[in-house]
Amino acid sequence: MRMGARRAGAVLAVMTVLGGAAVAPRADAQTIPACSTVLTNPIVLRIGATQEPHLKPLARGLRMSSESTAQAVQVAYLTSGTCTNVAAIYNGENLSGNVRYIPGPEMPGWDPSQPSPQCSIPVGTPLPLDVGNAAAFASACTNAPTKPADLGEFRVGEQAYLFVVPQGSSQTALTAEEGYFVFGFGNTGQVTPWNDESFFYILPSDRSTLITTMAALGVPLNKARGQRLAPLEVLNAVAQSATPEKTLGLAGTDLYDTQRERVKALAYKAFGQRFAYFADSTGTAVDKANVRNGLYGPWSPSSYFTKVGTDGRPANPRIDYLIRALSGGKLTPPATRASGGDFEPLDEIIKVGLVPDCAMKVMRSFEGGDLSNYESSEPCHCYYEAKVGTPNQCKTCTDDTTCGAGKCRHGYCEAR
Amino acid sequence: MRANSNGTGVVMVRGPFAVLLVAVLPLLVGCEETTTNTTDGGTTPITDGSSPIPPNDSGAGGEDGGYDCFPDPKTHLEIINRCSTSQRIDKKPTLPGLTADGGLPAIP
Repeated sequence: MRMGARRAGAVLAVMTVLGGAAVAPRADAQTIPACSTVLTNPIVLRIGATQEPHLKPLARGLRMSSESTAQAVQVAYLTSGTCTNVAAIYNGENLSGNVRYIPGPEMPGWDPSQPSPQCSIPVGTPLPLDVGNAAAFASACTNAPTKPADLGEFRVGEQAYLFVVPQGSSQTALTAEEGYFVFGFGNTGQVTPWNDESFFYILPSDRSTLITTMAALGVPLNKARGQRLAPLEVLNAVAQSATPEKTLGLAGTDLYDTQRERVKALAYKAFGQRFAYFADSTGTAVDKANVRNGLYGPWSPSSYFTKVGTDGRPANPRIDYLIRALSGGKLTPPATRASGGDFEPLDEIIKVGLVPDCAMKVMRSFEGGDLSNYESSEPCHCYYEAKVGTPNQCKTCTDDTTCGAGKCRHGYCEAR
Repeated sequence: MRANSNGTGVVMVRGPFAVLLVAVLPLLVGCEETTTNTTDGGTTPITDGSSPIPPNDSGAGGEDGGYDCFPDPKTHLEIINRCSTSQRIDKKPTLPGLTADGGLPAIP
């Protein structure tokens, strides 16, 4: 049954507060321009904080392209938890207030490592939310309203989530059974050395990081023990802990990969697994090998929801272009870089630690669900491995003629 | 072994995995019951060498240094125990909170 608009709004407001307030802090109104003065027909998104490192360079690349179709993809966004985003797009939210946006040539010195500037949407003329992101399975959001029939889901890639400890901790692995007792029972879990829940740092219940890790352990979200903080606050609390051996936190790989000198990711051993494995092939590699092959279990898809036409593609051509770019798909026309050469959206996925679907060898259909073997209809194993530095036997190519029964994709012969 | 998602129970075994689970789990649970190591201090990173489990083998021979992984995994349990050259860590903590039959108690 669909939630009433008033009730849905109230739920959304509460979730936003609990989720760590996605909306940018209000600053002096004089310093924040109206969005209508800095953007033309912006696409408005709500995304998970874990997906901001992906969106920023990608949207910047499109805006700075020398190709007009790509330039027209102008993005305004908020970051909030997965279930807040899902409820908002399912409910057809209208947004007003301060949002972030990706600047174009008018800010030549801006780069995606900097905070995105803000602009303001007047209360009297709100903008409809065009795209909502779930960095975990939307079906895990048990309080979400029914998904409207005209919303399509577009999967971008897989996001791994980690159990992290301070650099000063001697711990290297967590078993699922340990995690069940640690986060499910806290102080009474009797797990050494994680036996004091004041040193557990977790996230609010609508955040993908908590949703995915607790699903792996079988711990209900509302019963997870630990201090609930925003993602970067969790990293800071873990890194700065005065009691490193007892400290345990959660993080997405997007954040962890930029903070590896501050915290350590633990290898994880799932229920029924014989050994513990890191998300990467080793504790120091950055290749997501074990996410791809199923040896590391706590990961979820990152998906974008938007209105679709009868062909199943986004009804708005600019949104279709953005979704193709976010998904690492083929852009027509290509987003040519101002500096020359085509902008490669797949690279933007790989750079931020997401694993594109085309490089996955396993898949699951719900949060924490069993894995099954998977092969994309357009695989990119060789290209992915070349990008992350994994040695392989792949053959380079310029067309299918040198690939035998296979296909030439992204410059490498793939099996199909 | 898996806790169910609402934390009210313990074992959830589905379909074809049940047979494999019956074969593999005694080994896994037994490891926990017979190991006294409680921290990572006793874990041993191994960067190689997964020995393949022959088809239809439960993998139960792994503890003696023999077979311990699946070269051509088909099911969930085979996939998460597939052969790999990835670094792996052998950790068998002692968990006093397990129920008498080695299961997980419901979360309060």
